[in-house]
Amino acid sequence: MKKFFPACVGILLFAGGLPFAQAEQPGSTALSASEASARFKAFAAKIDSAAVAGVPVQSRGRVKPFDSFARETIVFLTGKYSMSGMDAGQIYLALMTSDVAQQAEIVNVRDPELRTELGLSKARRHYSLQELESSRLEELAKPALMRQERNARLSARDKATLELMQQVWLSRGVISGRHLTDGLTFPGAAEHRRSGSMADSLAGSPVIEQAQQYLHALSAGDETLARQSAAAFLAAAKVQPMPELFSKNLGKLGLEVWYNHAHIFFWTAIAYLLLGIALIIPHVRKRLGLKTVLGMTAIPLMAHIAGFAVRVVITGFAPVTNMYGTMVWVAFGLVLFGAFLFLAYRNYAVMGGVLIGAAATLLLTENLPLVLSPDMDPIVAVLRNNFWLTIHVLTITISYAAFTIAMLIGNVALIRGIISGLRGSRSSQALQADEAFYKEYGNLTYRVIQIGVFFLTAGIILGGIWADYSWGRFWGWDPKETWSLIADLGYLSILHAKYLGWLNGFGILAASPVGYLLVVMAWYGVNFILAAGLHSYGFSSGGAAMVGAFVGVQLALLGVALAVQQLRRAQAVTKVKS
Amino acid sequence: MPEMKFLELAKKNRVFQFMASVKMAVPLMLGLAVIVAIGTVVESRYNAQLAGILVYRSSWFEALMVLLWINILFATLARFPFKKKHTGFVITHIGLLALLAGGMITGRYGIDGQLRIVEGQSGNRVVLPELTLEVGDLKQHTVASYPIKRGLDMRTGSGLHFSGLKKAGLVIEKFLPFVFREQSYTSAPAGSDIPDVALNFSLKGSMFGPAGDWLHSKDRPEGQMGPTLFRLVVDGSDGAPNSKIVNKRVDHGVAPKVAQRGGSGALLIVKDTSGAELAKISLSDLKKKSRSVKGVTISLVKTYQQAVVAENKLVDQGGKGVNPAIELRLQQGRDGKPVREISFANYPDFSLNGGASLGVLFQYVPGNELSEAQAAVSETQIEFRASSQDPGRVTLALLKDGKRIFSKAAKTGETIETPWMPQGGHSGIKISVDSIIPRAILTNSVQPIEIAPGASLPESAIFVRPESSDSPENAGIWLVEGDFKTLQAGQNTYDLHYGSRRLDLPFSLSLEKFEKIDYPGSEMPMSFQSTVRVNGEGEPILISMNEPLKFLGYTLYQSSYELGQGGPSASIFSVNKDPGRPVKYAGSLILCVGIMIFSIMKSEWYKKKHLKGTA
Repeated sequence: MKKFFPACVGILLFAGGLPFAQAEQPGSTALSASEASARFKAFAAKIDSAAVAGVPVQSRGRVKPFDSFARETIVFLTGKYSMSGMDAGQIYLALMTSDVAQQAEIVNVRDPELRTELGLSKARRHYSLQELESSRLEELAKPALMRQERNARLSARDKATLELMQQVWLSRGVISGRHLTDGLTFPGAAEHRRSGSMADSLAGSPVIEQAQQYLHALSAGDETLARQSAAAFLAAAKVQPMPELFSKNLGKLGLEVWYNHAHIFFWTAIAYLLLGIALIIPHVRKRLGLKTVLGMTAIPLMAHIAGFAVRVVITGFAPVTNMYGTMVWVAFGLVLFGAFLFLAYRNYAVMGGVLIGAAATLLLTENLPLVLSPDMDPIVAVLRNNFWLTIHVLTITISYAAFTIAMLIGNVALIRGIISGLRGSRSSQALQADEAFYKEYGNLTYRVIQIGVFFLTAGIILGGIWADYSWGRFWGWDPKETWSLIADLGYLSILHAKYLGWLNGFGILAASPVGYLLVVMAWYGVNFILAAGLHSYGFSSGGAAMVGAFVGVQLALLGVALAVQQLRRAQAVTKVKS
Repeated sequence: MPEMKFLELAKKNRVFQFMASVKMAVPLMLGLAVIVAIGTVVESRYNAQLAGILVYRSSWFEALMVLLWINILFATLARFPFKKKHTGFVITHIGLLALLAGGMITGRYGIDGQLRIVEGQSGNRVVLPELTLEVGDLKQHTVASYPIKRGLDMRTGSGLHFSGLKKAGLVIEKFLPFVFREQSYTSAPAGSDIPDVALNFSLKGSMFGPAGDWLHSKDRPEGQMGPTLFRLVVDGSDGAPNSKIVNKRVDHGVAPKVAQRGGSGALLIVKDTSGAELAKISLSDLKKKSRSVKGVTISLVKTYQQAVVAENKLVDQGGKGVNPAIELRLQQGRDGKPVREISFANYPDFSLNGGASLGVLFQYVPGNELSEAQAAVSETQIEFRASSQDPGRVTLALLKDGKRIFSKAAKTGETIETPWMPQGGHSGIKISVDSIIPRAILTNSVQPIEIAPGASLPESAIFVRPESSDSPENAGIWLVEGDFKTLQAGQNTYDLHYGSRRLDLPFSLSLEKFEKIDYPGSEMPMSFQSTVRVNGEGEPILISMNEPLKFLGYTLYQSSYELGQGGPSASIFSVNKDPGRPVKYAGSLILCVGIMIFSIMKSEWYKKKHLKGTA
């Protein structure tokens, strides 16, 4: 909840003296909402945000390019990285300099019920600061704030209200210029302050002066001056005194800006998707040889690895410290295991399915920035400089990739079971074909689960070694470790049940999605639902509806498939009797 | 070989067959999964300790693990003599046996405790999670320790009987798993030389419901309730406000229960830039006149109950404040430039810190009950004047701005109508002195409570009494976790300590320095580390996150810290000794190798190759 308070304090300073003079607002209130929006858009479109994209800004413990700073801010405000043609940098700068910033419809009210309660127009999802400030928001937020202060349990509505309040505070901070001033004031600058008021002390800062000139040029709409002052601003920001941890990362800012705009994982996902679709169309896949498929997979796979490598270079640690990182890694594992399975079994359809699965995982990851935050902020102390941490997370999550493949195959089999069951009485040939399918894919699933169990068990043990190394105990029944053990026990039960003959063919195929629900709990549920224990640095919220829907679909598929099977068996019995 | 024969026989035994079967393994694994899943839900809803008591550290859970171990062992033995195809299976399961055995060794013989050391001091006393009762027998000059098992139910009788304890002449009568310590005043036995008086009063008014509080002449001579200051004056004492009481509460964050019902005055703590405390100023003093600290004149501009930003200004929304703040005007010397300072009580990090340039920082501690509006009338005082010679006589006085406006003698139980706050036709607030206790001493009583979701685990308590059957019930005492008490029984005296088991390390650790380094510009810790010396000598050693100190078989980890508010910081180390570690590591390795061999030997690729080789 700390996020919004700097913004709040920012306003305090606004009262005392604002570092960035906002353009006058000549009769802006006279403009209608749509006129104001159009004016804001036209204003923003003229801003060349690339000119200042590489300006070093500090926030949340690291130095980052202005581009990332603006993206993180704008995604929290609007839910998107770009809006109606404006990129995050343009929106951010336009908020600071446009005379209609207060009327720009940029704050995304995410909770539909909250929209109704605030009496906001239902046709939109984005509202202007002016609209929100004249609504009952603050009145509604007060009891929620009070509950939060007392550490009382917050309802979903409370959380939604508080989030909107934060968005409002943040947008005020951006518009007032306080947010950027904070970002441009590097630690250590406080010691140079001569007086108590920050605005006074900053008046002498060359970075702030350059920034002011740049922003003045923007608000005046003088493009030539803006270009010149942007260059001066960038230069001044780079030479200001800063901690060593910042200065040594200055060289990476350009790479980060490039990474922000290259959308490596998005294009990788598109390539996987196209290849996957090609492989499941029988007509197309006939023309593709083994080597062609592997070669065509290798190209996006290299891009995938490159994307990972860029993140490692920028942050200095393996990107497996949050849900976003592990999802990207699992997508990588899917393709990798898929390629091995393809080599071993030459099954084009499975390879195609796996590629589509990997593409879906990546696309999902890339498109939920609010739930799966892709920002590259530093990690908590316990995770720093730790080899075993990286190894154990990578090992455990790679097992999730294997289990995902098993789940995908299981789902295909369940759907096939339902379809063939619903077709009613069929020839013994068709039934035999079904059985052969179940047997073949049951065996495949068994193998994939075996691989998964190997990696999961090894990962749990490596996690134990890490815990022993970091916390001084090998095993402590922490919810995260306990749930990965539960998932392991679930899959071990499936493997042992096959040995007993309790599960065969269809049984294994049907059990694998059930096992996967345990993985979902270990992977997502512990962090997002239970939110207890020592792995607290991974905790977050959101996405519950999506995961809930997934679980629901899996259970429904399983239920219907088993019911259909029972029905069919009963029919077969009556047939034999008659 | 006779062993072989025995095994052959055992294999024919149906119990052995069942215990070795996969039919038993699958339900065991699934059962275990369900049980530990419940454990995680308990942890999420309540806390980790409760989950431990309920599931992970319960004896039946241990029994389940032993059963699983036997199952794996028998399953392995049942395949003896091993054939080549069993290689993967046998290695995997031996690894598993070793891993589980290592875990059980750790659970039984391992040490996992906490060592807290304050900067500049040394220590070797490790606090372990288990509970014990330590009994020092002053007659026999012996100290004995008795383990008390944590539980969820009240226990009496046999489960708590230790023959050693009985021999010493004591009995644990009762164990209560969750208790609440209640403190109240009672009268010390006649003849004891305690001059203190305790007084219990209650109020009734048309504007609020009944309320009451305790005052004690030494521990708590005054208390704030609503807009009024209540004060107990025992003749001879000058009745000056005892600000120490207020400070005590702020420093330790704990207060006797009686103190929690009242309020305390707001405080402004002034610190220098290193965080060392320079002064504590009560807000009521600051309201009257400016104060000067380190040459900086501090004057109060405004206090906010609920500071919010409206129309780009900080305004007070009033009400029960969630965001109390104080606005100050600072001036260095006589003609320094005035500086504006806003200090948020709950968000000290977001305070303006305008004073930083003047070398002063502020921490605002708002009062419990005192509000801006109420503060204006807080000059109202109600004084109970008692005499230590005749504590039964109390004079009740009402003071406004230091002037006595009402005074009346009060008897215990009598209700006195005051002219204070009369409300449309109704009389003023009624005050009654409920009880006056001479020679008052604080006594503890122990109340069982229910455990609540989201709360930390409440303390447990035991009732210990002398064994001799004719001693009355009240000869015993309650011991809540952490208590040191003395028990008189007949001719003997016992020193009792109930609480976490303590262990003295064979070496001591002195903490020279604790450092927390944040990521620049943020509050996020990048690392924390302690500089220590073993036995106060030798080279200083750095213990940091992920860099433990290993010494004499113990491993000390940087586990937590307490940042000193103006005082020295403390480091909390987790201290471990794990005899099961080599077994667990060996088991882990064997297990992983086993699964690998298992997977390879089952693969089509291996089978094909193997067949080719033999053909």
